[in-house]
Amino acid sequence: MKPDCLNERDLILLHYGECPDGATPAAAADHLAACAACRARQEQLALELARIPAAVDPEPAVATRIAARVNERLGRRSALRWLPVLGGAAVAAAALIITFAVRSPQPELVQIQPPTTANSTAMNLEEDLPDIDFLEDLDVIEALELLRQIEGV
Amino acid sequence: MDNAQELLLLEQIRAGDQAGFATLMRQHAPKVVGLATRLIGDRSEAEDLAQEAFLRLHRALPGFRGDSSIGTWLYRTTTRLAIDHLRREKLKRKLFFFRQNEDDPDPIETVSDPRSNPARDLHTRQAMRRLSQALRKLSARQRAVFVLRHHEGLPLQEIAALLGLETGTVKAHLHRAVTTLRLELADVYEEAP
Ligand SMILES: [Zn+2]
Repeated sequence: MKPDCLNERDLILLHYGECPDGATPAAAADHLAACAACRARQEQLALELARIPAAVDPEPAVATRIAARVNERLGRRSALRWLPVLGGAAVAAAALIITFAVRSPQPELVQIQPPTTANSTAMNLEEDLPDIDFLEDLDVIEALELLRQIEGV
Repeated sequence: MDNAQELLLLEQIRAGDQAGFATLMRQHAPKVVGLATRLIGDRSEAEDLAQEAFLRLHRALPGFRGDSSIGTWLYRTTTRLAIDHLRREKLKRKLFFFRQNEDDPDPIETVSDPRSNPARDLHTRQAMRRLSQALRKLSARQRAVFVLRHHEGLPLQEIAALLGLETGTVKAHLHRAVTTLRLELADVYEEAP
């Protein structure tokens, strides 16, 4: 390997059409054209990455299944929201509706509480995303909680 | 569905059109489940994760200003949920000294796909299984970066924005992931015809 040969990281970046760190894309291309050793390493990398299999795409029925399950959960949620203000008989009726909704062959037609702006006008879409660093903290909390359970503290 | 159609659909959903949200889900579900499966390696858990992403989308719709498309939002949410899922799985394994049995069937394979050919090439099945094992050696972020770049074809800059990381960090994760996978799959490459 010559001193100006491309390192593994740059070969990987070039393979994916990304800008290498150690050289300009033009300089890297010039080097590859002139250096048989780097070309061989690049070809080997491409060969190995091309052999990595991809998972089979989901069957089309998955869309209907997911939509049905989400609608079911949304229906359950909106039913639960009303439970405290309902009387005993109404609770039984709501339970029946939920049961019926679960069995419904066309679950997307289940009555869903539409999303309203009433209590969330200031809500930014970003706020609903799990924050990765926050999740790291959550992991620590969860680890402590699990340890507490194991040790029976 | 183009952006204008999607905005129209969003308006209809906000106005209480219940079938509209189902249309939106059916439109995006295959892609979301495909991404989640590649990220976490388990089809049935990927479906649970997709459901969670859509429930969050439903909650977030009132605040959706349309400055990013629903598809992009789902992509970002699914990836972050998957990273969270992978971390929790790793943590559980660490805490309970649980090790995945090498002979366990690969979760991707255990989900029956009606289109799959029962006589699917044995070599491909073994390669899938080895890949699944090799992917478990990566950190959640390394795995996400690799899947998003290699399988989903996203530019590194987009991945950086998606994960809230510096591009340099994403490059380092990709380098580490590819190096680990090549090492783990070396004998698979040797056996390949
Ligand atoms: Zn060279």
